[in-house]
Amino acid sequence: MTVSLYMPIGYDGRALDVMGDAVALDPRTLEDPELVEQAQRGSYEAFEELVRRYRNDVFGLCYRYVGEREEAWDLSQEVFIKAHRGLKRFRRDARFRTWLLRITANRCKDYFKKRRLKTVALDDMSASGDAPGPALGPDGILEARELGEAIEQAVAALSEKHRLAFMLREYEGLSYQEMAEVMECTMGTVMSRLHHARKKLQEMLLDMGVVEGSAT
Amino acid sequence: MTMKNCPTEETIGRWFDGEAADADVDRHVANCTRCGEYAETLRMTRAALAERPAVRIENSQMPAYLNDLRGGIHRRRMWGRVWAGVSLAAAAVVAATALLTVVTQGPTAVQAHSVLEAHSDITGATTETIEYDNGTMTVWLNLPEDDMQ
Amino acid sequence: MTVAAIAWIALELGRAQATPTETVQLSVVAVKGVRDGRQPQYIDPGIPKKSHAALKPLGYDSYFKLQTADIPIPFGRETKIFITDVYELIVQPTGRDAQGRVQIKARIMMQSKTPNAPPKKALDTTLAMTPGKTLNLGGPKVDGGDLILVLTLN
Repeated sequence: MTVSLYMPIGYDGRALDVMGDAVALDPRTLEDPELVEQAQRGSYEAFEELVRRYRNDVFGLCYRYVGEREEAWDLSQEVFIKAHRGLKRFRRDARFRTWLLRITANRCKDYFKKRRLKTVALDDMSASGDAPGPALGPDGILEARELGEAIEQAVAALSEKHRLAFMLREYEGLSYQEMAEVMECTMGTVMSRLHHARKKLQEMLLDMGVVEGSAT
Repeated sequence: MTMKNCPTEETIGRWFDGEAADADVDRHVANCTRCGEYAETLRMTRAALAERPAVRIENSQMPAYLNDLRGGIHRRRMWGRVWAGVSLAAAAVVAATALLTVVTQGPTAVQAHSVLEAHSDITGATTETIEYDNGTMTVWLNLPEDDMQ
Repeated sequence: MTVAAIAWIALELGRAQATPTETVQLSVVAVKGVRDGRQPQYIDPGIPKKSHAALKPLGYDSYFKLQTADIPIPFGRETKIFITDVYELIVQPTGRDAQGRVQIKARIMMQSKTPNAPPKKALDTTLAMTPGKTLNLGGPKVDGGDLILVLTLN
């Protein structure tokens, strides 16, 4: 199935001679640093391979911010467009994925600023007694609402910086060092934000009766 | 049993995330009720989220995704660039004359295409539908000679 | 320490995914036709052979490949197909007629030379297409030639 819809154009705006300037190797076989290098030299094919590799990391993070596939589709597209424009500035000693997720996080933050969506901090909700909770069955066991869904809703209610820390750790699986690069903060701040997010979620699980014990 | 000298929850979090292997924390969590509960909360949360359906762009959606992306990248490139490539005059008249060949249809085993509607928003342009000897149907845009678009 | 029995129910697969929609496979071959006096007629080797029969009657001396695409397009939704930095093809299958042909809206959008001006509908059509047969849309200018889109539904 041929899906080439595009005449490659290099960074100087000239059309690339596909046969002359094209990547000699199948981009699928290349490691990220080599792909990035090729993309920086103007190979759109190499850039598309990077898109293929990381589209779910970007899309997933966008989706968890906006909660809707179509919005996440558009937002993730904007991320890759920004990445394409900024590719020349990417330093190849850094991890491409981390750089891309930083763009994603920043784009998602901007999205919310523009949309002026009100995110109710979970601690606010807890104080008012409006913390989210699932409907429990008569024996108190979580029946009506799946636990993971409840946790996701609680995560969505966290403040933006705490939510991002949690998502980068639990959904994207980043190390603390990588999280610090994405969030552009120190590792100490990473740990602090992650801990805060987890404490809030623990309080929620206690309120739900899913765990016993007392929050500290 | 809740032990004394509990590590901070941040420390337990680091241990849980594999950021700081610590045999002391291992032992403590195994034996301290409170810290064990906290670690269990972390474990439950992670396990519950792992059960959630994946949010992804499937391979079958990639052609459309990449297509949208290419269009988006090129639209960005258009801004600020002087578009000086396309001439919308001259050959239109020649093309219109050369292509004005109408053929009566022959017997066909398969129902042919139909053009239900065709128009253009370009001032002065016309459209025509042509069916060739070999059954190829073409909808053609005839541009005005002095298209000032 | 006990943890209350956790009876979470695994969500049905695909819950977070889009609802499946009927699609039809569209092949688009975008070509530039040029009257350059070349003899014999030249067809770019990159143009799929299945499109040659649709191009030859148009009467150009040379045909050059611009783009190809072969993608599923869902019913009831517009799909945008990038052709060049000036033209886009937007297609939307809307249904099937009694003969099994696919009713499809297809338009070629053309970017304006003026920055920030909205694009124009260079060619706006409503078609009833027979699967397996080709149909051309053409006539807009491209870089010294004419744009031809060879469409095939499968």
